[in-house]
Amino acid sequence: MGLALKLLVVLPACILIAFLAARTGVFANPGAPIVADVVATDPVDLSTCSTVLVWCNATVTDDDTWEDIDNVNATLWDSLNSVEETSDDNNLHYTNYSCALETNISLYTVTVNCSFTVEYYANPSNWTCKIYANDSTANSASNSTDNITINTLRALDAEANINFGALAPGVTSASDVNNTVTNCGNVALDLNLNGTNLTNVSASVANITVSNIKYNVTYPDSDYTVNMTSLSPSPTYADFSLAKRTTTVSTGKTYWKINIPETIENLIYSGTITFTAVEDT
Amino acid sequence: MTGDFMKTPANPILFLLLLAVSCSLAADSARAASIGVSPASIQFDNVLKGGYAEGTVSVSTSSATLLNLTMRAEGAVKDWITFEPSENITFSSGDMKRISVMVRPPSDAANGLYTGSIIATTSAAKTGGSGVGAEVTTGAVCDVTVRVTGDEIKKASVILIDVEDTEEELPVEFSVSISNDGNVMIAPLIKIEIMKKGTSEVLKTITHSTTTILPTKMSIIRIMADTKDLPIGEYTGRVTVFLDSEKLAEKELSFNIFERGTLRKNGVLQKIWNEPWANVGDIVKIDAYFENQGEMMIIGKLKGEIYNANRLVNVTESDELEVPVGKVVVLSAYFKPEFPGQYLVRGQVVYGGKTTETKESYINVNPGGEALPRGLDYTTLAVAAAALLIIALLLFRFRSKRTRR
Repeated sequence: MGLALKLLVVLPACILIAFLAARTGVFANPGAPIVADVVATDPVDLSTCSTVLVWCNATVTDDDTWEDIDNVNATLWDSLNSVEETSDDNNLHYTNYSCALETNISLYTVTVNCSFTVEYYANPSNWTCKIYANDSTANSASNSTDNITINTLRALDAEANINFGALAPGVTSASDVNNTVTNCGNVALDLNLNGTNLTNVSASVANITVSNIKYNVTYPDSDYTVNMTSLSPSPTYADFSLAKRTTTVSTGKTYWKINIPETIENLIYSGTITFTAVEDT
Repeated sequence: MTGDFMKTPANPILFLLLLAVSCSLAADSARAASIGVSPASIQFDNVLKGGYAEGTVSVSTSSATLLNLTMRAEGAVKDWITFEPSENITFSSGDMKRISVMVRPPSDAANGLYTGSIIATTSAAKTGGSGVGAEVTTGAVCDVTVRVTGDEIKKASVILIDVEDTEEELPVEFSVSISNDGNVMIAPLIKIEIMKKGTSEVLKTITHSTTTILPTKMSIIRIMADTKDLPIGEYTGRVTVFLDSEKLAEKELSFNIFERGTLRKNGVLQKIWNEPWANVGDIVKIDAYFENQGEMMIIGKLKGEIYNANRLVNVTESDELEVPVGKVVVLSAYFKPEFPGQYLVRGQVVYGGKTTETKESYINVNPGGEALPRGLDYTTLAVAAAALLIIALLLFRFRSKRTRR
């Protein structure tokens, strides 16, 4: 075979091999660990005003035995709204700088567990987890999974009581009684409000009907007669538009008043008011 | 609060006790009753008329106090939806409840898209203060859409096929995880061919087709293959999964049959748990949380002894259950107390000729018909303890002053 013919065959072959090696990483970093089988919690259901542990696990193999693996770290990020290099932010980016090495499954391979404590307001989105393994000679490798779904969490917190205090018959609350609602999830929310009559088992004349309780979820100090909505036994939609938390806790106040009927006994009357989180429209 | 009330009371001890009680109530009244559902919407596509579909919603709270949880459905799909569990659900912070949502459209439902909602609601919290007022309960809505079809869809996917090593004369366990992605019930056929490793001669064939899987459900099918006629050595299991004539998956897996005693059997009894309070005549369920930390499947059985005043009064045991490697299984036994008093439950799990360490729990039995105490309210306890401490300190100061005078 002539030299020109050899070059014609060998050179493209070398280029092809180099290209494939670069694409697959086979010869890219001899002696580097291999990160494989990356599996993460999916889907993730967040916890009301709290945190959940999200796991991202993998196997790491090193030619110099698994004990040569020096450090494993991992990053979990919202792949629609951030990138791997983004700084940590509870909404969209978490880092675990030291993952746990579990029991080795062979002389060269060990399972690694990387956990992330994810806040309730982490974005509902598709997330990626990438695990890096470094060995004692500073060789490094990584692998990732990008099909983690953090589900929407619709959640609220409300103060446990609305206490109108001691009022005389025929009197309307002079000022608002506030109840602060906290968005405990990762989506904005509106409210459905409903309640029961205020009763006392000893009452023989009358109870306080639920419609005597009125609310305004936007403006304080509203006029009871004109600008407040009567509470009803069936859930009634209220446009509250309480945004999800991004930095500080997201809260909004609701304002309540009551009118006491003229004919009523001197008793303590109580009932129930229900705050329900619904889709923000 | 009037100025008179703020004056030094005639009886400082009574005043301090009242202060302690009002502190405790204030802590309760400030406590919120939170709730959340995830996901906030759930879709059921291509549900067959008269068919079945299932999904899951997670319900959580940040309340440290035990709350009751009620699930209900509303809208066009209200009568089609049931929940599991459906009643007597309690939860608190750190105890996320995963509720199965089952949808069964009637066979005469028209094709189309139906909407509704699932509403999770907490129970009322305690009242605080006096006068006219309302307890606040909270809820969260998960939006539901159900697309009903008349077309049968038979579809499934294999999620995982696995096998565990075993010891001579013990069965080898194959596990196959299959997801029913269609809208009719399926009974996939699983065929396992066992060969000596490196050869193609099939030594043994096992088939399994008795497990049915409901639409939208995933099932882990465990198949125990007898190895009594196979000597110690390395083997290959070729697992093929069919749905009717369609081959869903095929995988070859290696496994070993070792000498007896090679694989580590290690069962750990994590805890024994039962409701702490019961009435005479109640049936008390005793749960043992048993984990297989070994290298082979084990069969476990709870054996319990029940003592009253240091006297053995009863014995109880659970059914035998298989516990796969790495799994926790709850073994349940039952006890019906006939007399009031405190009973000590001492239990251990017997597995593969071994026993776990013994764990204990208590059952407090009241005479029949009494209301049972609820779970401890730690916040109230903490506030009460703090209040008592303050009372003690103030009393100490009060007495010191009187002594100096």
